[in-house]
Amino acid sequence: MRFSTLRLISGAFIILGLILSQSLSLRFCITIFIIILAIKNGKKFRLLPNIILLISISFANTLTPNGLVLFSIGSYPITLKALTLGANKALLLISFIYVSHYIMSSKLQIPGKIGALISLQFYYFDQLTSKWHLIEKKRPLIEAIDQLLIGIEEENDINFIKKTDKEYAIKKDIIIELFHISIIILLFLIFSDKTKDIFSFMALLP
Amino acid sequence: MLIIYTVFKDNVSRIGISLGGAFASTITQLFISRIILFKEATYVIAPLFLFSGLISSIILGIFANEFIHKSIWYAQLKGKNV
Repeated sequence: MRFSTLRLISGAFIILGLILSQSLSLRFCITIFIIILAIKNGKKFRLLPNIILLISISFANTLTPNGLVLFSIGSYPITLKALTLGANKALLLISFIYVSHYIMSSKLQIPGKIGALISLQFYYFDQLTSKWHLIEKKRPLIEAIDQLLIGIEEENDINFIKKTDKEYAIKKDIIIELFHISIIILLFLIFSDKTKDIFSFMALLP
Repeated sequence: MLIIYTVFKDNVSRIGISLGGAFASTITQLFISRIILFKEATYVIAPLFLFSGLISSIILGIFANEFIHKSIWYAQLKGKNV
């Protein structure tokens, strides 16, 4: 099995876990786990854009008041349930972004001519975003992007990248991916109703 | 975008291709948003979302036109026939 296929399967399980998770605390834990996975696989994490996303979606959700009124801004009530629901949705969105980073870090190859074209697009997009800080600000933008692309082209020959993408998963990779899936299952068990019955403080979590 | 380019070839501008891509992308995002994130509230943000997609895709199309005319990298790539 190709390593990228294995990563895709593992990512699909994580997405399933994300969709099935309903409580805010469980989704928060899964989000943290996914961010760790993405960082471990060489993806950058910026706190500020995620915080902005979290706050904006949470507040956008308060447009439809729901549950206990926490406070009011003029005549606009901020309700607890609407805020919690908003945070839940924001976490889901953030998780999806990092799951896609995690899946794409294996340089996923879609079969066929169109698949190769899409893979190439992902490759250039990845290279451009990771090297964007190198862009010369004083140069006109088109010329600067052009220089950056020429640099990428010289640095990595496309044919070489295509060859290295076709690596196969070894036993160790399968064990690692199974471990990732088992952590998601473990998180579900930790936040299950049975655990809440045993540890009463767990029931207080949102 | 690929479908538009394959069907219309040189009869469609890069702005047209960009518009088609933005429309497909926005519709997909709204669809996912409708199912997973915002449910019914998606219809509230849809007009704004479609309009911003329209504007940004026109700007992107103009930029793509400029880039293709000026880029050495693109000319080299076309020469290699990648």
